[in-house]
Amino acid sequence: MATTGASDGASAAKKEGLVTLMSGDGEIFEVEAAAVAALSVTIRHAIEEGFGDRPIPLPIVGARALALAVEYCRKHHSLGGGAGEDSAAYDDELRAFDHNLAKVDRDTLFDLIEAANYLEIEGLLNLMCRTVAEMMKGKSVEELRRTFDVSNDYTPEEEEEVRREVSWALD
Amino acid sequence: MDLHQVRKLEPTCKLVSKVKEPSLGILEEILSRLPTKSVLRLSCVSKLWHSIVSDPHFCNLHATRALVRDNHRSMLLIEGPVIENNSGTRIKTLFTGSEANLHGSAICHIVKCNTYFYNGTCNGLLIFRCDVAPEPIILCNPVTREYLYLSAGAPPFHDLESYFGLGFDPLRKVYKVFRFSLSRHSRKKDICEVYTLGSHGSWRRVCSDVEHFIFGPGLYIGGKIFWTTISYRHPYYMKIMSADVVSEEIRILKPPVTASFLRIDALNQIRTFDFEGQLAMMAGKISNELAELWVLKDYEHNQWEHLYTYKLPFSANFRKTSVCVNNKFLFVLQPGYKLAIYDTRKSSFENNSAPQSCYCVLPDVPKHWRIYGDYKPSLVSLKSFCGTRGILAATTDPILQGDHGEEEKSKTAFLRELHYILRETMSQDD
Repeated sequence: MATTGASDGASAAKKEGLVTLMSGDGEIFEVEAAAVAALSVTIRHAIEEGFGDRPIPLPIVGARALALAVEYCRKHHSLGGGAGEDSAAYDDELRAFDHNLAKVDRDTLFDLIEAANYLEIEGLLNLMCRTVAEMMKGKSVEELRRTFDVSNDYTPEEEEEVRREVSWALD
Repeated sequence: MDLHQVRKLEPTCKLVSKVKEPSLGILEEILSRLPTKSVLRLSCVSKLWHSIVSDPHFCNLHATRALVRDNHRSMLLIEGPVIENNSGTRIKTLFTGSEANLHGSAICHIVKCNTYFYNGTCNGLLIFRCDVAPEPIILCNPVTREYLYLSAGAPPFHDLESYFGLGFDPLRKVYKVFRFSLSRHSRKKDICEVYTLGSHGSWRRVCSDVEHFIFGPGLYIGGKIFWTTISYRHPYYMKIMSADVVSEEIRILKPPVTASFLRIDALNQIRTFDFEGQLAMMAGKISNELAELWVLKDYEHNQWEHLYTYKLPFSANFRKTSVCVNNKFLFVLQPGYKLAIYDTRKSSFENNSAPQSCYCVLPDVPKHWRIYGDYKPSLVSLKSFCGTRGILAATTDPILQGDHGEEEKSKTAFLRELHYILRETMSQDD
């Protein structure tokens, strides 16, 4: 239903079925309105509010992350919810797509999470958060600091205190 | 709507500085998908990460997500209580998720002048009852290091001990404590009451015609609490009592066929436990060192299924024995004697009519030890649903080194041996 509404909004635009997005660093993307509106709550709302004929500004989303997020929407819109005999094959293809998308470097990963959060793309947010969570599992405190470039701002006494509180989790 | 108007006014073509560090909201999203133990480890990384994971909003988010995920069970090792020297009850975890805990640090230690017994766990909270009936019960979340002394009124009679169970009502999102008060002398039937945590109310009577003597803790499985019971008026009849946490209905279930034959000494031949979300029962046959494993397949129709028969390395007298399942391995522990470990995956490939033998046996189990397999460490805060009244943070260091006598040395040696085995079993998992 939401998709239909989005398409109605976009039909007011000059190019049929397209919507223009502008990334925070000023790049312009012309994308299928139906695909992004189906997956991104933020864009769906923007189209409904009459942004269909103007570029939708996405101030905190960088061009690279936006391009990946749009690709995610396209793929999931065209393959997701596939019915009948193709559905299983589609599922496999989507899984492979998600798996590849999650292989990006750490900074892109965080950019993508920010983008998914801002654009309200639930599936992408979940996928990326789980990917980072997987990277955190089973790592020691020192490994975590190294992996995520976090500097230790505890004094040795403070750190000892925190470590004592959770000592069973550090085994 | 207004939000979009505001955004429109911002200079949007300006180059945004690259997001190097994830924002707080994003970190919350990521961390709430991690198991509790990993989250605790993250709190040691930096002050910022510590502040995120100790924020009540985050804790609730994490606890809610953990409820849905329903995994990462830990195996609890309970030491004590030793009534003679009142050393308290010390709780350790042996396993968390798929990680073996190597140093065996205690996660919680109940030391009071009266003796407290472990009475069950639900969503990461532990409940302890006192052997002196009017004394408060203790609820504890070892992860948040909160202890709640619940003294909401003495039981109606306490010529016998009271028994408890803790459960979660997902409809009202509240925790409920069930209490059974037994009377040996009065002609009255025994009474079951319920206390809703955070209600600041009192015990509500929900049932007054039970007449069963409970042994073992209340097992919270799939929205119900199960206790193993015998009727002290007819001491040969062993039954399972269940309480539905939402409806507060109390039911009596018949044990599986084999177990119902064990009338003489049911107390010593039956152990119940959580087998991957189902109520399971180990029923021992003293004569031939065999024990049958049954699971409750259908609660409504009281139907049990016989899974396997196990060959025990000791006589099937379960007087002090505890049984649990963790990571597909079944543990049968006789304190002061032996621990037998079985691979339940192996059993399922083989003919289940033939008795299964042990994966391994560990000798020299310390005295006063029991194991439970259904603890799920959680960040759920007692404060968030009880208010701060009666909540005590752990003031004393919960990690007691204990005395370094011979006994302590042998315990350490046993734990080291056990962890070696646990790691071995884990490595087979892949």
